[in-house]
Amino acid sequence: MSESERDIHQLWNGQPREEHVMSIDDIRSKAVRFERALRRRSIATAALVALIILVEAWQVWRTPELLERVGDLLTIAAFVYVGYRFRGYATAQMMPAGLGLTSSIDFYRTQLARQRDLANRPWRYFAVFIPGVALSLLGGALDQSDARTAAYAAAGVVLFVTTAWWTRRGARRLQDEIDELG
Amino acid sequence: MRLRSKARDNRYAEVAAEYGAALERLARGYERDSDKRRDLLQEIHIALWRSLARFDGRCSVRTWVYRVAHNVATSRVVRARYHRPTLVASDDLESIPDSNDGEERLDRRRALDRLYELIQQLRPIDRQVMLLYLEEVDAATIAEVTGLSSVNVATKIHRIKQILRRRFHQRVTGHE
Repeated sequence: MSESERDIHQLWNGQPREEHVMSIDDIRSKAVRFERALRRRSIATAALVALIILVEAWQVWRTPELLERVGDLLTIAAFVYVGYRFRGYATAQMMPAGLGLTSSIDFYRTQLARQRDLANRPWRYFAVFIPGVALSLLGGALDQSDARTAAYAAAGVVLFVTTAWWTRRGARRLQDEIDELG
Repeated sequence: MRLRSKARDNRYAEVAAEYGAALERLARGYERDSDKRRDLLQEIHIALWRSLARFDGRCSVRTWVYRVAHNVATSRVVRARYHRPTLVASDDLESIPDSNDGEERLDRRRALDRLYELIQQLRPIDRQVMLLYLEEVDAATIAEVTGLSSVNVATKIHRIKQILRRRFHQRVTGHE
């Protein structure tokens, strides 16, 4: 070992400790709190999805127009589907007990791949809303002016295309990083 | 069940005593901000304590501890990737300007600051190799922890040594 290498190792290993010592009881209680926080977050998300579904259901009951009612029903189905898909991701995000069984490169690749999958398929999440929203728009258009309906439709398309482009760009970058890992 | 839990607690206490200082240094390699660093360190200790319930001796305790710690830290890097500057591979470090201001000698505090600055520019896997090298972990264990081939680890360590030699050619002097 050269002198400069020894210097660096001495420098590294000679750092003073900050001594953030946690007792086993602290760790146990923090682990419990962490799991509770994750559960609370899942419950809050589920409650939000349920609220949206209730609002949509109320619109189904309230709207006289058949096309709009069918559109709202399809939107409810889309929310249920997306909620189910994201539930899978949220569950997998909990701290796995097997961290010590996975090499760093495999773990890193898995993390990047998961983010890429989330970003890479915006259609999977957005496309399911298209039939419901389209029918609702069509139903609503019967009562409104053509210009207003066209403006809503154009705004929707722009938002949809921009979001899809942005997320796919992120996914491509993640894929490049995964490829570099070999 | 209670016996298993007690065994895990005992094993964790041994691990924390042996690797506590190394884990602190590792956390500094990932987080400069002291509050975030404390959070990360706590997260690592909790993950370690939880993971030890599944430790079955398939690898050494050292490999296990470093895998858990680096994997927890890496998940933070991935989560924060949109808010942080672009990270580079160790091969690309040469293209980044050195903050060396031409001094003959470096005091320990400044030398450490420069070292952490260097570490935190690295992508997770390169960062792990560098941190493990600094901890004087042997190449075979680094390969086991990271999952890189021995040849790849040797190449990365060679590169890291060159970079450190070039950037820390001055003698490090004095105390904290």
